[in-house]
Amino acid sequence: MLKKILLFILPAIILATGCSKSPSLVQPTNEYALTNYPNTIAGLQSVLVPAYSAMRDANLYGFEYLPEAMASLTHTGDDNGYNAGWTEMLQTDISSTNSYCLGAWQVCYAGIKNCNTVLQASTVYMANYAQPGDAATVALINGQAYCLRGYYYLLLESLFGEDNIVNPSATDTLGIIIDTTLPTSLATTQKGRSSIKNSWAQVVSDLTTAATLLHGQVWTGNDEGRASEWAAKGLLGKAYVYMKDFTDAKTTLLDVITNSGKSLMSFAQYDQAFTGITVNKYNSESLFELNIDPNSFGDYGVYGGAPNSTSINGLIWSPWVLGSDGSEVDAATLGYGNETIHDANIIRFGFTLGYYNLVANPNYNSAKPASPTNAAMIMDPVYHANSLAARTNQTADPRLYVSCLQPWVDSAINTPPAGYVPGTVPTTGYIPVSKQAGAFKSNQYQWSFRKYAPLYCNINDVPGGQADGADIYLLRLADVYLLYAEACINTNDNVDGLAYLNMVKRRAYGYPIASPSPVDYASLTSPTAAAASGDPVLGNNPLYYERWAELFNEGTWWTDVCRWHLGVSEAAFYKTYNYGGNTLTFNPRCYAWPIPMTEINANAKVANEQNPGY
Amino acid sequence: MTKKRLLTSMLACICLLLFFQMAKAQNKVITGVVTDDKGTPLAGATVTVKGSVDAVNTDAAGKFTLSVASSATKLVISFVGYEPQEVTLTGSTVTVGLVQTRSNLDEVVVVGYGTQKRKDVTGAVSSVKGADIKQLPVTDVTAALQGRAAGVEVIQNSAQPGGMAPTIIIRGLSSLHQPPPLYIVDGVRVPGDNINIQDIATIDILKDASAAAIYGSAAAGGVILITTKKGVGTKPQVNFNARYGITQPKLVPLLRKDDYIKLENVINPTYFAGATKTDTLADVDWVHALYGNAYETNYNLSVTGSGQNINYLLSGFYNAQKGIFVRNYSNIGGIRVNTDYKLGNWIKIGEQLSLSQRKTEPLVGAEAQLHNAPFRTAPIIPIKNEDGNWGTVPPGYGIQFGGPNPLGAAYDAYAVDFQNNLQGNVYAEVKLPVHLTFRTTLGYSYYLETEDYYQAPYDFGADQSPTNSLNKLYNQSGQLLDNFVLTYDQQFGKHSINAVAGYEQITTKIDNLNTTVTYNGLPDYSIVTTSSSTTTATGTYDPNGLIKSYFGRVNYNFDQRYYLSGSIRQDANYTVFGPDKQKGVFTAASAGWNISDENFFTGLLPVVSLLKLRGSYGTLGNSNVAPYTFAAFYGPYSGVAGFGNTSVNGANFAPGAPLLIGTSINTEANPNLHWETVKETNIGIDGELYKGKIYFSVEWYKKLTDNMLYALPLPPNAGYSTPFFTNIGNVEGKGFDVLLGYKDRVGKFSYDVAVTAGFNTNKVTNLDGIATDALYDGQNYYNNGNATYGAMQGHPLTITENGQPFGQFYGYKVLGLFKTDAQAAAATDQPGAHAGDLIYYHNSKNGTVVNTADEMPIGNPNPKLVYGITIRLNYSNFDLMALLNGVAGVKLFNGVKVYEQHAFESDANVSPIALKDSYFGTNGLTNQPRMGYTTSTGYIDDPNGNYTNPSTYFVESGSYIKLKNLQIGYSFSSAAMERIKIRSARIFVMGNNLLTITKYSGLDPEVGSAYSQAATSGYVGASVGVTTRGLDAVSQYPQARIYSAGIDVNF
Repeated sequence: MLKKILLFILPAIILATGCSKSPSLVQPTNEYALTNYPNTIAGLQSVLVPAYSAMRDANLYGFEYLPEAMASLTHTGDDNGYNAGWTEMLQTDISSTNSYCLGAWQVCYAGIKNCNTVLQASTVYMANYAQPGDAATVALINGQAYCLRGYYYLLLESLFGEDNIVNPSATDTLGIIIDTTLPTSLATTQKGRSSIKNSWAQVVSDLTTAATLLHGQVWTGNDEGRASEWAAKGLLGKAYVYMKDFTDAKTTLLDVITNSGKSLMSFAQYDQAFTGITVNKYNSESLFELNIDPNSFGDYGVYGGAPNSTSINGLIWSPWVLGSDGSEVDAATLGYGNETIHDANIIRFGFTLGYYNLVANPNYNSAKPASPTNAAMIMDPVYHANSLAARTNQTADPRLYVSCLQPWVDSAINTPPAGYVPGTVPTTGYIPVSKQAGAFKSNQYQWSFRKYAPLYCNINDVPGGQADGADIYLLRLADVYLLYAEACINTNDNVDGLAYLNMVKRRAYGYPIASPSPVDYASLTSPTAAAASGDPVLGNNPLYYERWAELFNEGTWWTDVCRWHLGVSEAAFYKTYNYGGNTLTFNPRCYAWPIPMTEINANAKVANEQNPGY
Repeated sequence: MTKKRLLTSMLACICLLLFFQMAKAQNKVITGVVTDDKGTPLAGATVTVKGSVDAVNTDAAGKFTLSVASSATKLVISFVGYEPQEVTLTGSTVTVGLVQTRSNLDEVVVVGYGTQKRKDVTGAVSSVKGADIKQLPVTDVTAALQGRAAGVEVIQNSAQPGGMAPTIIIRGLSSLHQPPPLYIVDGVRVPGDNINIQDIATIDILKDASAAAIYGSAAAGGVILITTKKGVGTKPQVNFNARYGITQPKLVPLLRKDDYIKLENVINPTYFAGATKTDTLADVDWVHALYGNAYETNYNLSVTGSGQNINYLLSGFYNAQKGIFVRNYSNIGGIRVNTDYKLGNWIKIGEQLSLSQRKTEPLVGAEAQLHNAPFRTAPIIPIKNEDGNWGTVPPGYGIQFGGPNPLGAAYDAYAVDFQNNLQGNVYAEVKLPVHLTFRTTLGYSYYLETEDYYQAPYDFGADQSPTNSLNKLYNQSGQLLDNFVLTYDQQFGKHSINAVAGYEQITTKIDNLNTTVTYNGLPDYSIVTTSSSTTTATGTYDPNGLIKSYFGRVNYNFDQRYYLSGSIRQDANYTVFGPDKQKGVFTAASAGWNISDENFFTGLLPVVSLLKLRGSYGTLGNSNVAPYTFAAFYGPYSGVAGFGNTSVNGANFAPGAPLLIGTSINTEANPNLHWETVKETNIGIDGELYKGKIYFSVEWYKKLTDNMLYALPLPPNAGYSTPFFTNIGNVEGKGFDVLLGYKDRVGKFSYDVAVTAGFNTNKVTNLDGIATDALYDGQNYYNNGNATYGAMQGHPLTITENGQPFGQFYGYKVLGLFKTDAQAAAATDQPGAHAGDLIYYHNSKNGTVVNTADEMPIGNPNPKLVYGITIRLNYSNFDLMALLNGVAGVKLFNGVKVYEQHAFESDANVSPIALKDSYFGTNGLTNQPRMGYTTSTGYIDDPNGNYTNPSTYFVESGSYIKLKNLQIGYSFSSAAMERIKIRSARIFVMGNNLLTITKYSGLDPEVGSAYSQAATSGYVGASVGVTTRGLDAVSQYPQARIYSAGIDVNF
């Protein structure tokens, strides 16, 4: 009996578990196949997302590029250099293994790859899945991809192109590696650098194509921040200025000024346009802007597994406020607190009051615990009054206070009141700004960052995880005005050049931009706010000074330093880094960043194409 | 098609079975009983008619009944561990008393889809007996193998309960994607090392390609065959054992308050300048706040028995281990049921079923990453502040402390992890005519891991987070295995043939879910969403895993003197390689010669009871890379960082607008990716002298890895952050495995001392195809992967390059310390150096000053020799078992020393040895480089990079010998026990990790592999840290000693 049962069981086991069919090709179950994706417009839109979101990489606007690389390299911020690459940036002496150079290089090419993926995907979509009427939508998608690719190439060429400023039309000096399609094999990843001329030609071509494809498209509502015709044209104008094609620059930039519908915002709004206030985003002046929402969806900012749209630059730029005992010695910071504003910037903006001292607080009540409202020591009240007067009287450039926070005079909120909604301005909880924690440093300013910095909440305490709220301006009209002024000046149109410089300055001082004001520059060599500091270069060059002051801490000044070869004079002006601890010199090879060693190691074609000096 | 063919042959087999019953002719019946030399019945002894294959096994009472041809004259009775005996048939009953053997030759060795006698083995196979490892305080097989098999290197570098399994490397590294060994339990491939070691009867390790080639593509890391116990004896036998042990951590001390202030007065002089009330500051020993003694305890109960047609084993165990770190334990319990039924002379069925559950409180918590010592603390930070909150830096000193309160970090998070394992198989074995046996096995392994992790909001002063989060993790995988094996076993006169042919198929399914909710409504493991909550989830279901294999093997021997063997296996892996590249064929051949059985030899050297020469050559495959590596797809974009950092995979275009999720192409496909092949030659000689009193085995091998799986970094201009997988390069490994033993019995005293030794060297060759100069890895940052915080930032610590071994240390060569400032000033290639700074070797062709071009390989972390000594002594009722293990010819990078001697950040503490640095305080020149110096403007930290450059100062010899385990037992005499119905009882005391002899200055020279950025990014495999070996990094769970006592009772 048992045996008979077994005779059934055995074949049953064998049949039940028998051989599986051999599949010829298996696919992962959590990714889409190249052969049949994207097959909808929504899918194609999804492929476009990383072309934008690559900008929020930790190596670019997500975290490290602005506060660690750019703020150090331009001496906007001062600190002791938190790692080797950072210290090199502070020293303006970069090596070919610098992590920030590598990061910027990688992120730009990743962005370019993402754009190329969009272009490939839309070809597949149009060939196989397009519905009638999709062509216009696909053209807009492609237009955005071209605009973004142009942006990445523009950034790459500005940073890594061999001293392109000297002769941007040269065919024998090296620009960047140009990839316009996805690599198809290992061999196609091995690519040499194009000439500077061809590199710029790629930027111009991409941005021109983008402007054509995006022509007339007005983005509204949830699409407000997408790349537009005017973003593309504005960037194209910037590229023309950078490549010294001032004639084309003038035409293109004037087109933007005249036809984009954009205008400079009021000073009142300008003052609140860099601190994450929601109502000031996508303002009248914004041509291209990276949306930053103060919501990390539980991630540590841009680190983690939850897609989000935030950044964490503010961790580095976090202001310092008085400690809970009201002392500077135990000052607290709204993030990591790595950097404060380099002291030389304070005087370059025209602040002439010198350093302050702490004095005993006459109102101190020793019966109550010390606190920021009951501090034992306070800023010298006379100095405090003089500081307020300097603001009111505009003896210092008002943009100083847009960009920086003055200890004891300005304030910020470490722990916001319950119910705090990021993107709004709380009414209570303010604590005076302080120097960094530690013993009082009588010979230092140590102002805190304001532009792009968290002001109303410790960035670690943002509900949901570390997150910034301030959008990053990729291009705004004030920059276009200044670029246009530069193009005019270089085409012997000094009148228009001066006019546009003055318009930018008038807004900064709160005057109507269209009519003459008491603060106007009389000429292109009039003294600037920096004159008081004895700055021999920016002190009587309104073009240079306005670009420096207006775009302070926005990541553009470095390109200007390189374009105008200001490295040596800047080092002379800033003198030191690490709070006076180290003397600054400038290594001229830095005018072009090194091709990162990682690229050279993996790409035989660039092995002998390193920039000079590295 | 395949299915059809198989079905036909199955049906044919079944038809043949019907004839089988009729085909048997019977002549005379012999009955008998087999006992040992004391008269105890031996169950399972084999009784064979000499010159025939007719054989039976004795039953539980040692009895047998056997039908033999009338012409039969002799029976051969054999049993594992006993000398075989020949009995001349004189009547119809036989009584045999077997004598225990000293020789290993009759041991049965499991060789994959079959067994062989040790004497007949021609490949490289090491064996370990279950009894030898039974009481080791470990819960995995890998750990138990340490020191017991030549050429098998096991590194146990952490006392973390339920943590990572120890590293195991068989015959050295052979690949950047070094596969783990393949584990086969009772003939069924199981995913990993997961078995109660007390259930193990024997472990056989297939080391060379010829032995392992029958497992083809999965065997490049070696094969570990585990055979579990079976029931014996007529009466049920009950074994109960228990042990309890105290665990003591080995720890690095940190400065306490007074010394800390002394240090800060130098490196941060403003902190305590003018401070008058430092006596009121806390003085916390943070090391002991986080680490302390713990325990390990184990209980095991088994019932075994057998009857006429059945044998069974029922076993259950529970092991509890408290970690030496706060809030960390791991407990595991499980059961096993093994049963074999003999349904008739021609058919046997059975099953093995094992279930276990492990419950672990893992190390979790934001900012709670564990360190060898909590260097980022200060003794003056109290554990708790006066207000009851977690302690923070005392105010008023301006101390910049950005770190967490490490105890708070550990307590502000809680988690529980369950790992459930089921491994089961059923088999049927049918004897067919013409000496064929057919066996089919259906195996199923199931794994389910769930983890709940609640992170509370925390506030450690500068470091705080108001958000709570709950993470729930669910990982499930199932593996179904079928195999069908046909075995032919026959002798023709002096010719013996054993042939195996089979088909095997493995399908795997994975299903997982990982979800996180922020602002959970309750501080518990249930999801309670609130209006502030965000929920994120990832999950995968992938049923595609499929490997199909055909295999065959023929073993032939003539007169048990001359052996020939050949095997072949074709594997097809459908998820790892693309079309046309899925299949790989792996072959092997071997030969052996029992010289000692030759007539000329027997007379020549009668003391040599065995001398065998054997040689083999074979190929193995390695496919240890992630599935679907060969192709490109549209998936989530994870930025430059890659590996799942998908924060950057979202964008929106207006404040608060719905987030759009991205997809992109993230890799470059390589449809030509294919198998990595290991080709191995093995030549061995085995011998026994004085009937096994002295035994030895020496093997020489050479392994060549061909078409190595290589993850080539793409140049960044390609835009991909994932590597390009291709087949480039070779690895050459060679060495000797030696086993030498001596055992004897003198009166009441018996002993067995065995030495195993494995010599190995490896080097990577022929990397010509790559554009990259070398593969760098290794870091000693304070937190794994965080390049911006910790020591030696920006310096890789290892290099793997053409013509060199895997993962050599990389850095500057130190020539000594500058003795005077004048000497330092004269060294123009080190500007700014002073007395007490390290002198670096500089080659003037690299420039005028010391720079990164002067860095070079500075030490090989791959040991030249790995050895073990096992000692077993018995005297009367006492027994002693000891295991010593060691390595020689190896370098270690003492990364902890970097943190011990120099404060890596302003918020770090150091160990007391830092105060012995050159020119610290009143010190003059010592043998430690200076940490920095004080100028009129303040303290300048380490301008020469003594503690920020990797250099030979941190490279030390890692040779050691350890008394790994010592067990002393006493067995109670049976007479006394029988009165209380106990058959036998043993009590024992045991010490683990008792003693280490080494020159290494770190805590413990048994160092495994450190965190590997290259592994995280997919450049090297993750199962063995090939490029981070020997790196004693600061982020490491310390090791511990265990002192235990236990009892083992048989009823």
